Amino acid sequence: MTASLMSSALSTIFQFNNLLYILIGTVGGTLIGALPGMTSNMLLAIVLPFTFKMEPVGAVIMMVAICSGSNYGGGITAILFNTPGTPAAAATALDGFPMSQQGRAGEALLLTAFSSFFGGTIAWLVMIFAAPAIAKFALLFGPCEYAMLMIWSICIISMLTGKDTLKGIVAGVFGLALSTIGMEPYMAQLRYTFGSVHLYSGIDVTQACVGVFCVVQMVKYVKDSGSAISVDTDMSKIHWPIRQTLKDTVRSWATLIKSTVIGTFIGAAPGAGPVIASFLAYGQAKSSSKDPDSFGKGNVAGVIASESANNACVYGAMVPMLSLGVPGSTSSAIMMAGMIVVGLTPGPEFFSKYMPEAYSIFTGAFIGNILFLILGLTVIKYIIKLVQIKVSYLIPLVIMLATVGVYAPSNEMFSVYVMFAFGLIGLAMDALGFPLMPMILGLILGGIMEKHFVRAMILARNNVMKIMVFSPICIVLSVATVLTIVLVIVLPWVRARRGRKKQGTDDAGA
Amino acid sequence: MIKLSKSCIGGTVFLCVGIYMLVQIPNHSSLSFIMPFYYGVLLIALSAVLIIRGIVRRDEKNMVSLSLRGLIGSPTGKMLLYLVFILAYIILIKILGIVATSLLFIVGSYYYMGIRSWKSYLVAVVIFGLCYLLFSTVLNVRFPHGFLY
Repeated sequence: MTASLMSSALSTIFQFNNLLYILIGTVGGTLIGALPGMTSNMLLAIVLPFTFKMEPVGAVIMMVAICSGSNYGGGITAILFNTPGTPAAAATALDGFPMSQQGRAGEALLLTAFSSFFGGTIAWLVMIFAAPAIAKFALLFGPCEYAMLMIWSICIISMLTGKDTLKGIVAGVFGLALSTIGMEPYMAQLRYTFGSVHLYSGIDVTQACVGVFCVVQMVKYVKDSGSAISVDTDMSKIHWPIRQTLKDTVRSWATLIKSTVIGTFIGAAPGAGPVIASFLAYGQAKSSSKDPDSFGKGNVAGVIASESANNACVYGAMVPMLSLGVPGSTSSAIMMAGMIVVGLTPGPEFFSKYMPEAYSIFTGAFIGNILFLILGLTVIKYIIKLVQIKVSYLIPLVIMLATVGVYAPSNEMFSVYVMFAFGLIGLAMDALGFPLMPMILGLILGGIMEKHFVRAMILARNNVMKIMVFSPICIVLSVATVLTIVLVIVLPWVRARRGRKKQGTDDAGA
Repeated sequence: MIKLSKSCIGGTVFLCVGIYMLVQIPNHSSLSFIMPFYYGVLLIALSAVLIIRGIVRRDEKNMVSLSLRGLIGSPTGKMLLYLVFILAYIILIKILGIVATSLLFIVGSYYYMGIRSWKSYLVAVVIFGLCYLLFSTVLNVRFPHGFLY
């Protein structure tokens, strides 16, 4: 069974179209990741409308390749110019840039490619074994369990995203409220459509994502005028010791495995993400090293830990997304929206309904991993030249691409207006300190949550408390939700109080 | 110059959204009101807490100043002007047509951002041309053509 699935997956992936999508995703992701300030979320949002005419598997593997590629690309500028292309690459810069200053830029860049590849491969293996197993367990989930799972994940992501917990929750609830626009799933009754036919099917997640992740980001760049990176390094003088670096990477296998495990688990946990993963892995590598003082001065293990963890995070985030329908990060939320667009809705039934597609996605993800290793070993010199482009050159092109991309699936200008409206909402929320990710997550999960929650309410005879104790799984999820809320609210308060007490004691002592 | 709390502004807007959701509920049938009801109540409750917090905690970080004079020439003003530029772009697409409007938008944006190299203009126009061809011929998208194309 598995052998036949693997052979069919291989034959799907080795079709010209799919290989091209992986190549486009990897190169595009690497370039976008390398440009400081440009994120994979933005590229994913631009790509989202393009997926409407693509083969479902091709669309998903391109999105996975974008995520992996951008994580790898983020490390390039972090190492060469001490300007992390992505926030997660900030940990790479800690040792990568000193290596570059010592004339070991080539070694650091190769380390990035090798450790990202090994980290990605190990996490990929975890993904293939863990995701179907979790999906089997998830088949025990009924409407009540599902409703509680959705509530818990929205709670945790809203609370952990952004600096202000309360604003995160408000943004999450606002996203959920937006998901009620359009036709209700059970009675087909229209809600909050303001008489517009275009809103009958609700707000399109693609248009919202493009508005929030492209328009907002591009308009904010206008504020900074999009500066380019100044280049002091002479690229022709960079030495590329491939064999030696491969040996160094293999010699640091313990750091590699530990960092990958951290990355995979952090990726799977909702609300965390590659930034936390790479810094945690870096901290772990430093604390377990025999020579912790050498960290920050060009230690090879620092680059390996950070890069393997942030690439492992991409695959870790795919485990709950595919098996439970719960995205662990912003990029996996956009990816989930893309999967819904192409008709591969993630969730407990994903592996039973779309087994061949799932295997093709897994195989495609691995091929993407190999591809960016090849990219890292061969065409890296040209990529470095391209990343020196000023961001302001890209702003109108991104806006134009977003407009054309959003218009294309519906052939209606209304889609473009919705994109712009979400751009405005996003800018206003950003200016007022509200995180945008919970809003988008609320919008994506709102529809699915309503279906399960209303069915659960019917089962529990309109008693919300009954849903919370409907089954042992519900009880565990309810306790997890309550604990999350209590910990997120109480812990900062306790810390602040302790800080004030300590300050008071110090002042009294002085 | 008026200074307002960010939490108060945000809280008030979301409070209005919550109230609107609840006001509309009598129009919904038995099953379709469940989620809007919960979300409406949650939005009102959380926004109220946000407003109260904004009134109590009046730290500088949480304040936003509203001044039209301060916007002129400032980075925020530049950003808002570009937003108006985007709005004009999407409105004019239907009137002038996608090709003419997009070319105007790209050239105008580059000029606004101080880009003067003709090569950059040429590359941008070529990229737009390729995108247009991809969508109109490969993906068979019918773009709006106004009086200029």
